[in-house]
Amino acid sequence: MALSNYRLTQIARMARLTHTELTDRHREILDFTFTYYEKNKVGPLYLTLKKHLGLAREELDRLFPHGLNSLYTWTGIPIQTTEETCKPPAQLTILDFQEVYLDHNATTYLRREVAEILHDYDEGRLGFANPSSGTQPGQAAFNQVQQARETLAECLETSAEQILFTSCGTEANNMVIKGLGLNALLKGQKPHFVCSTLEHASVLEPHRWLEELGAEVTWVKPDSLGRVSPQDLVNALTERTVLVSLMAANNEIGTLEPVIESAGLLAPRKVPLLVDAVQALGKIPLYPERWGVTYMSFSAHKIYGPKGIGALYHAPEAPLFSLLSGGGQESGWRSGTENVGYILAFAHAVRLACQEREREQERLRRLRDEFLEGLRRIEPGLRINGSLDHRLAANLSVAFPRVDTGSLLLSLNNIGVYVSAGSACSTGKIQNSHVLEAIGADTDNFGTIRFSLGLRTRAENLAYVLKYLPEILRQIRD
Amino acid sequence: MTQFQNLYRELIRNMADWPLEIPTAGVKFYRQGESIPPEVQSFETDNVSLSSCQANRQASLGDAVLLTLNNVGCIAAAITLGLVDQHRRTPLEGKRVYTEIMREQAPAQFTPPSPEDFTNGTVYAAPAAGRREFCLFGENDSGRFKTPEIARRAIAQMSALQPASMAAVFFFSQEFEELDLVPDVVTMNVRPVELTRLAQAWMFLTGERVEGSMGPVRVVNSDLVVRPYLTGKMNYSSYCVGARLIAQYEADRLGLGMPWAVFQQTVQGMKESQGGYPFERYPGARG
Repeated sequence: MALSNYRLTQIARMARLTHTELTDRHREILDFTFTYYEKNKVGPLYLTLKKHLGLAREELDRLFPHGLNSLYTWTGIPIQTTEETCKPPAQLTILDFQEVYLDHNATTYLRREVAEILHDYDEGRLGFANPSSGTQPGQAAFNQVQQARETLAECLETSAEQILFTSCGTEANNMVIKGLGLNALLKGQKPHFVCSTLEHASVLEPHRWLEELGAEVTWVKPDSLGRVSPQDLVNALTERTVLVSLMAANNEIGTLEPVIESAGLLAPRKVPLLVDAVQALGKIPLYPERWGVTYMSFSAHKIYGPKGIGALYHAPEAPLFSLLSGGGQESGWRSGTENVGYILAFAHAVRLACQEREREQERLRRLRDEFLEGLRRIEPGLRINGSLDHRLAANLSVAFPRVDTGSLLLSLNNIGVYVSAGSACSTGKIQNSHVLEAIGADTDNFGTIRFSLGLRTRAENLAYVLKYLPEILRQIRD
Repeated sequence: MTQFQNLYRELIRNMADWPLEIPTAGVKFYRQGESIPPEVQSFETDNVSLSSCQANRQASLGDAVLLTLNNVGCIAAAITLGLVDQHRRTPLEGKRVYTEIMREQAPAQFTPPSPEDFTNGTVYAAPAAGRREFCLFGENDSGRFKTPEIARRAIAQMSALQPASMAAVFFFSQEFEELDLVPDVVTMNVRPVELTRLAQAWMFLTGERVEGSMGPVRVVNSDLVVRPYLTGKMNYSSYCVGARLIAQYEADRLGLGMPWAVFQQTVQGMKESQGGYPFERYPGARG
C-alpha cells in the first residue's frame, strides 16, 4: 500500500466516525486514489475510477458515506465542498476574551501537585531505575510502584495485589474482553458477551472484533434516561456468557449506571462483570471488591493525571489473560518495563481525588446546577440528555432546540469556550454519537453540547458562557 | 471509436513514430435550456467543487467532469464560461476553491467576493482596493494587478461568454467513449517542442500566423477555451497562477487551445506536412 501509517490511521478514524466498515475493496480504492494523486497532483474522478478499478459511481456512493468527497477527504486530497452541511458559526466581537475549558470529560490538565511529581521524576530526584533490576535503585523503583499500587487499592478499598498498571483505560478494557474471548475461542468454544450500547469505544470495539472471530454479543440498550436495567443484563445471559460489561459513568451524558445492583445479580450466577470506571474514578465512591465486581478499569488523565497510564482492578481468582508477553512485569500479566514516573503521578492524582472527592463534587454540582438555571433562562426549551438524578456532578449534556451542533460547537470554540458536541461534523455530514442514538435523543431538531466542569472551573467562567450564548444562539438560528 | 479519439490518434500517428502522448481534453458547452445527455450529467460531482483548470487537467488525464454553477470551484471561471452574470453582487453559495483560500487568511468575519467584485477589479487588486481579505498569499500579497483600474483594463481584454447563457460545461478526454461527443474546443497540454510542431501543422495548411494571447489569470478558461471558441483561432499560453498552483500543470508544459474545426485542420495538416517538419529530430521531441 502506498498510504502511510499516518494516513491509514486517519482513514480508520474516518471510517469509525462514519460507521463505515472497511473492506479490501475500500482499501484498494483508497490506495489507488492516493497513488493517482501523488503522481498527478489532482485526484481521480468518476471515469478514471471506473476505468482503473471498475468502480461505478453507484458503488462509490455505496461504499463511502459521501462518495467522492469521502474519498478525497480520507486520503488527504485537498478539496472544497459546495454544500455547507456544517452551518457557519456565529461571529461575535469579544472584548473580554477568556479561555474557558469545559471539556474535562475528554481530558484534564495536570494538576500542579501531579506535575511536580513528574518533574521531580524527570529530573531524577525520584529515581530512574528499572523496577525489574536486581540493583538497589531497581529495588527502590519496585517499591515505589508497589506503594503506588497500594494508594490506588486504598482508594478502592481493596488490596494491592488486585491492581495492575496498564498504559491506559483502553488497554485495561481490551485485556479483559479480548483475553476472555480469545481464551474461549482458542478452546473451540463460542463465547457469549453481554454489553451495554452505552459503553465507550474501548469496550464496544473489542466486542465487535470478537464478533468477527465468531463470538456472540447481546447488546443491551438503556432507557431514555440513559440507564441500563440490571434485569435486562440478567435476561440476556446464556450458558455461554463469559462477561457482562457495564460502565460506571457514561462519558457523554454522565449517567451513573446501576453497577452495584448489577453486580449483586451477576455474582451469584458467577458471571464476570467488567465495569469501565474511567470517568467515575475520583468522582464517586468505587468499591469493586465489596460490590462483587470482577474487573474495573481506570485512567489517570480524567483526574488531572498524565495521559498514558491506567489500571485494572481484578477480583481475587478472576481469570486474567496477558495480551503483552515479555519480561513478566505486573506479575506476568502485563509485560513491559513499568512507567514508574507516570505510575507515581497517577497514584498521587488518585490520592488527591479520593481525599477531595466529596467537597469537590459538591462544589461542582452546585456550579453545574447554577449554570443549568442560567441556561434555562436563556433557552427554556432546552433538554437534558440523561438522568439528572443519577449523574456525574460535573457533567451537563444539553440539547438546544433548532440548533446545528457543529455550528454551536465552533461558535463556542471561537469565543474560547471548549466543550464537546454530541455529534461530529465529519466529511461534511453530521454523525450522531452512539450514546445519543441509544437513548433516542432527537438529534434532528436539537443540537447537543456536553459541558463538563472541573478543578479550575469558577462561577465567573460559566457567567462568561452565559453572557455570549444568547447572541450565539440568535445568530446560528438565523 | 469516437470522432475525437479517432482524430487524436491520427494526429499522434502522423506526428511521431514512438508512443507519444499529449494530454488532450475536449470542452463542450451546454446552453441554458439545452438538453444535457444523461451520460454527461452523470459526471457532475456532488459535494466536490473544481476549478476549470482542475477539470481541464483531470480531463486531459483521462477523466470527465461536468461543471455547473453548483460545482464550479472558481468564480472567475464561472464568469468566463458564461455560468454566472459577471455583475452579480451576491457571492456564490457554498465553498469555492479560491474563496476558501481567502477565508483561511482573512479575519474572523469574512464574506466571499461576488462576481461583481471580480469584474470591477477589486479581487485582483485587493490590496490597492483596501480589501485585503481577498488576498491569497498573506501579508505580502501584491494582488494580481497593481490597481483596480489596471485590473479592469486587463479584465476587459479577457474573453468571456457574457451575458451568461451557459448551463454547463463538460470537460472530457479524447478517450471518452460514453458518447461520440464532438467538443467545441480542444485543449492540449504540450511541451514547447510539441507546440512548435502542432502550430506548424496548422500553418502548413493555412499560412496564417499562430499568435499567443495570455493573461496572468484565467488562462485555461479564458485564453485556452473561450478565446479560441469566440475567435475561431488557435491560442497558446504558459498557464497562470491557478493553473500552476491549483491544477498543478507541469513546469515544462504550455497550454494550447483551438476550436474543433481548427483541430481537424491541424490533424490534416500534421498528416500532410510530415515530410517538411522532421519532428523526430527536434531536440527533446522524444522526451
